[in-house]
Amino acid sequence: MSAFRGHDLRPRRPASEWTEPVSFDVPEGEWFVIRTTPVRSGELLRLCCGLDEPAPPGIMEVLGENPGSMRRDAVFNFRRSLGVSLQPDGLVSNLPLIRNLIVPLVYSGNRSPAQATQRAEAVLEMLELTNWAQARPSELPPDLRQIAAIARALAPEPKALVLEDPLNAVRSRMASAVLDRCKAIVPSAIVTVFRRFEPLYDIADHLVLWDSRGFVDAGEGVA
Amino acid sequence: MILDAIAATGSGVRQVGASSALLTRFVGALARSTLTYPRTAFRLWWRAVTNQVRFTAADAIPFVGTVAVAVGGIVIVEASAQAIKFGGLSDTLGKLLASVIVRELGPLLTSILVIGRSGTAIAAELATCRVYGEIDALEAMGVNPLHYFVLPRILGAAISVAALTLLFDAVTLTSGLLAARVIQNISLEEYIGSLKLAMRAWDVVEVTLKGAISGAGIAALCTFEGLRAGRAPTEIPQAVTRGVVDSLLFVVGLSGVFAVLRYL
Repeated sequence: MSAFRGHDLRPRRPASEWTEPVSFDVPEGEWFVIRTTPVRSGELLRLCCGLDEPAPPGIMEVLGENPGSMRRDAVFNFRRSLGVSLQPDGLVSNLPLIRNLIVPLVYSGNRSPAQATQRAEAVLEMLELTNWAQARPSELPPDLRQIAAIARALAPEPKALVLEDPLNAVRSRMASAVLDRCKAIVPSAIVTVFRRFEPLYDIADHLVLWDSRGFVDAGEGVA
Repeated sequence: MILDAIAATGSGVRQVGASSALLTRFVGALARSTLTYPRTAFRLWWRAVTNQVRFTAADAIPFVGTVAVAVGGIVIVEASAQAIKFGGLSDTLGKLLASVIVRELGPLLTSILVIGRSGTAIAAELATCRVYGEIDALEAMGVNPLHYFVLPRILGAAISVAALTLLFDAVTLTSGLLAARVIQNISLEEYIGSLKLAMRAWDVVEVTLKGAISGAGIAALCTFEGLRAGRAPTEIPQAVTRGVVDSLLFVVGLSGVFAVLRYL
């Protein structure tokens, strides 16, 4: 089964720089890395999360489901199987870091506050953020803030990750370590990157360049 | 020129129609989301409600109290001036206070104060969350923003405005008593007797209900406008302005509806 499959995808917004439809298929168990512009990246990943719908006749399937055709409540249920980190990171500014992880877990209805706290503590420990648990997002250094956004994406134990230009402010060695841990936990991901970033290139199972010509394959088995 | 005017009117009507359709969808989504509220989130929800009550009601007590004292004094001073023309103040005092302050000015002024103090804050906060991607991020994680951002604020604001309205009326009546004693030398017994004759127990229920509906409406409209904001920082003040205008129209309209229902 495909983790992510896009067919004839184009955004609904007519003013977009993304004018030509694109198609792609990311099998389960693959990290698909796309180097592109922030505009294209934002629009593609919003389609992946069901935050926007593609222009007809485009279809976006994620984990075998089509979020564009779902009712509102069903979309929220569907998104709970994804771990998402978009740009800007969207960490809730008036909540401490640990509560940024707890809130989505509790509001998704699957965990009690105690279970959510336990899970959040475990994820923060795994990513070596325990000392920052009570810090507000604005108090975190930029690199740790990006790791915190990844921690929030990992907390719900997602089946697939959707990451937008993650960890670009993090030193390469630390970024590689974080990405390795992510890949060990979540085998399927669609990741966009805005500039050359070796740790992501190293971890990619499939790397493509996306510009005005469409998807230009940079080769399989990059990792 | 006439065509331009017609085009501008048509465009305005279309915008109002589009906003109304969005608002109707928002209200429908709110109603549905109350049924799907995650049970695991009740503790966090309650904490959000109490925070909203603390901010909207408890922190606003000095402000609302000060305005209420001033309003009570002003109404009695003005009433005294008119009473000299039309006979004794003690005859009409109760009716005046019950109809002008308790039923109308109290709920309306309290709502306006809450719009200025908390409605603006709610709209600005949500618009800022939208601009900085916090709402999109939570939505992308499967959190319904109506559950997290909207429903606790609506309940918190409803409780707050109902409580503040009762407080406003109580403070205004007390300051009215002091003013009446100083200006007209009216005794406490006379004052209370006059009020008892003019007020019914139902008035308290009506005022509480009006306050609760006002509070819920203010929070709903301000969250609606905050969530509607676009991604540019310039959208934040626009969302606040729209929230304030919508809320003012709502509370004035609500006062009118209650007044009509009372005299039907």
